[in-house]
This record gives sequence, structure tokens and C-alpha cells, in this order.
Amino acid sequence: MKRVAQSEAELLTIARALFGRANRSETRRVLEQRRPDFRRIGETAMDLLEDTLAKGAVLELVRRGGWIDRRGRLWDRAEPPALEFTAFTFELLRWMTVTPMRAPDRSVLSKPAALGDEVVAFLAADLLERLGFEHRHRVLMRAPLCSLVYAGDADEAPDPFLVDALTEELTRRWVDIVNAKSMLGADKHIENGAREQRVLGLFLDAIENGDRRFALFLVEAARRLHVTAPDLMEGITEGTSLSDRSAAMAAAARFFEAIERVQTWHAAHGLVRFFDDEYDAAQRLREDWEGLGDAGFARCAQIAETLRRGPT
Amino acid sequence: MSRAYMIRVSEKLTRHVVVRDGIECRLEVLPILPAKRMGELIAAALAKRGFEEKDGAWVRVEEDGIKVSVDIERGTVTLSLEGEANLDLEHSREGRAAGPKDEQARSALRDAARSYLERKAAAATDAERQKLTERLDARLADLRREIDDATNEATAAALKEKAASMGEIKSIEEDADTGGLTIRVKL
Repeated sequence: MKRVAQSEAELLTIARALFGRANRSETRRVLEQRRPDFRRIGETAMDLLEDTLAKGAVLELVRRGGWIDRRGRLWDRAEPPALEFTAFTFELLRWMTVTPMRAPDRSVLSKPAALGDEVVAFLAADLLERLGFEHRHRVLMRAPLCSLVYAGDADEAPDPFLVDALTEELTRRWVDIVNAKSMLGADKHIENGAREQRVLGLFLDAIENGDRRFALFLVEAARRLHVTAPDLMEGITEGTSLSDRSAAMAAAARFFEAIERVQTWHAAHGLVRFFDDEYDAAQRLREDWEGLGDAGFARCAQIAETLRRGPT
Repeated sequence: MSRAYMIRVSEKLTRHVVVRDGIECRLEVLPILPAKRMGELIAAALAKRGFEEKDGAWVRVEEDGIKVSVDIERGTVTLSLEGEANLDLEHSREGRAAGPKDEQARSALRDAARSYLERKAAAATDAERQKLTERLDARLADLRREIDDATNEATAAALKEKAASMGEIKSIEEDADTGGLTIRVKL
């Protein structure tokens, strides 16, 4: 049996918890506590950490949607890149071990520098959220993948491979993000709308001239949503000023405006002629997005238009 | 043995507040003719409805004070309402003090009274703003409909001009119920 120090054991508990392989109450205890900081871990603990991350990250990507057969499984659709972990992952796990996770923390850690770091940042936010801790920590919301999942504050789009792997997860999250709008007051609508506009804009800019199939999660989320513009405004209290209501409605339109942008691509794909080089790719996208279809895109555009029009 | 004193302080707050509310929305204009000509047609439709040009925008002030402003160049419609109120609030606080000249206790009571009055003033200001919002809300649908009518009228005029430029207009049928317009043109 391998022996490690207590601080190392706690860090390994957090690492294992990311992949659902740690005792829940023990994880909660570590996340709640403040403990003396430590700068390094021993060789034995590092070996265990590397092993946990290497096996856990791959398994988690497969579990969370990589297994779904969409024109092949994740590893068939493209050559999987190496999942590397840098000092960021260690710093993040160490920070989670020594800092109480109850309140938002403005610690400035480095940014994720490799795909593995991105996965760990996302799983860390997911773990904190599942256990009822504050999860919108600055360090997490600035990580590109995490930012796309939670409408955070990153200034770049995540790696397409991760978006592809987590398409199902992203779909579910964005359905929740939009549905939750019906409980928001005007201020929160405005705050969230600004973030959603930036995050989705960055993402669509990044794939517009590349592989647009990664927008599938947005199309799927739009297909699964059954909301109307008035539904989204249910949380606005009666006494709210018209100017705030108007700004809140415009902010609530951001997701649907992103769908409007994808709609223009969908229409353009239908115009690609069969002798053009892009014909096959365009047809594949038309098929993939057919679940939402012209009627669904039109419904989203209508919601966006109603919200942009403001109070009536 | 020291005696406990009760002291009372009174604070007054007099304030003139200006509250405003409004919305800005898009002016929906179809680009049937060049933007300059479309702007002229919309301006004509607005002028018919009592709007006057002022500082580059077409403005009308309603009897109840609502200001409707259409900026054709920016493509925006702004509906706004402003109101004023004079707040005259007073509040007294009582508390224990070490003596009649206990300035520390007096100052603490004064601060508490001022802070209470500030909260009351904020609530009263918000109540005034809410009254304004209700007035604006009640007229919103009618005013938006009127602006829509003006743009529809400009659109119909633009379609007729466009049709005339394409050939000889044989007939024009307008359906007042649906707002439909059918123009037959001999090319």
C-alpha cells in the first residue's frame, strides 16, 4: 500500500472526486476546510495524481457524451488529441484543497495551458456545483471550456475536440441556462445576457470559417426548448421600470440571436451546389441540424424578434 | 450611581427628485427605396401625425407628457416620460444617553434617523417612478401601433413609387382589414 501525507491525500481526494471516485462526505469536508498551503507533493502522490488524471479524464469525456454514435463515436470522428495536464491542474487542485469553497474566490491562478487542464477546470466547476458549493470562481469561469458550459468570462473559445466530446453536456446546460431565465429579475437578465452574448459570439466566430458541426449543441438545445418570449420574462417583478424591462428582454434574446446566426449558415448550406467542393459537408450539416429544421429556426428567430421589440 | 437620560433627535429631509422611464426600440423599415427616400416618406407619415422635426429627430409630446421621438437615421423610436416630485420627510428617534449633553449618543441617533430618511426617500422616489411607469405602460401599445401605422403608410407609399418606376400601374388594391396591398404593373 502506498503512503502519502495528509495534505497529499486530500488533494488526491479532490482529484478522484472530479471523476466521481471519492467519498462524497470526505470530499465535502476537504472543500469546506481552510488548511495550510503547501507548494509541492511527493513522488508517490504525484504518480497517483497522474494515474488518476490520465484514466479519469478520458473516461469522463466518454461518459459525458463521447460514447454517443453521431457519424461514429468521438474517437472515430477525428484523431483524439493527447490530453496533457500542466502546472495549472496541480495549482487548481491545490487551491481547492486549501481554500474553503463556500464563497466566490478571486484568486488569480494561471490559465489552462493544455486540453487536460480544460477538462479538469470544467469538472471542478461541475463537482462544486453538484455538492452545492460556489462554483462561479474567477479561475474557473475564465477557462474557455468552463466558460462555454456556464456562460463565464473567458476571452477565447474552447478546443473543438472538447466541444465535440461534450456536445450532450453542453446541450443540457444551455437548455437549463435558457429555462432558468424565467426566474430571473431584470438585473440578472442583463448581467447574464452580456456574458452569453460574449461567450456564444466568441464560439461562433471561432467555428464560422472552420468546422461548423460543433454548433450542434446550440441547435440541439434550441430543439429541446419549449419556451416562449413571455415565459422568459416571468421573473420580472411588476414594479420594474420599462427601461429595465426593455434591457432585460434584449438581454434574454442572446441565445436566440446565436441561433439566428446559425440559421443563416443553415440557409447558406442549402444553397451549396452539388458540384461545389463543400457540397457533401453542407449536406451533412443540413441533415445534422434537421432536428430543429426551418420551422424550429423560424420559431427561435420569432422569439428573438419579440424580445428585441421590448415591452408592448 | 449615574442616571440614564432619554434624548430625542429629529431630522428633516427635503429633496426635489426627477424620475424618468422610457424605452428605445427599433424603427422597422423595409429597404424598398434608397434610405434617403425611405426616410423622407417616413418623415411625411410622422408629420401627418403631428410630429415635428427637432435636433435631427421627429418628436411629439403627448398631453400626458409622454415624449415620442423617432430618429429615422439611427432607426430608433424612443418613448419617454419624466416627472418631478418634492419630498418633505421628517423622522424622530429616541434613545438612552449618559447625560443631556452626550454628543456621541446624539450623533448616533442622528445618523440612524438620517439613514432611515434616506431609505424612505429612495422608496418614495421609486414609488414616483412606478407611477410614471404605469402611465407609460398604459399608453405603450397605442403609441407603438401609431408608429407602426406610420411606417406601414411609408412602406405602402414606397411600394407605389417602386411600382411606378418599374412600369405603368394598372391597378392598386388596398385591404384595410389585413393591411394588404396589391399593385398590378404593366412592364
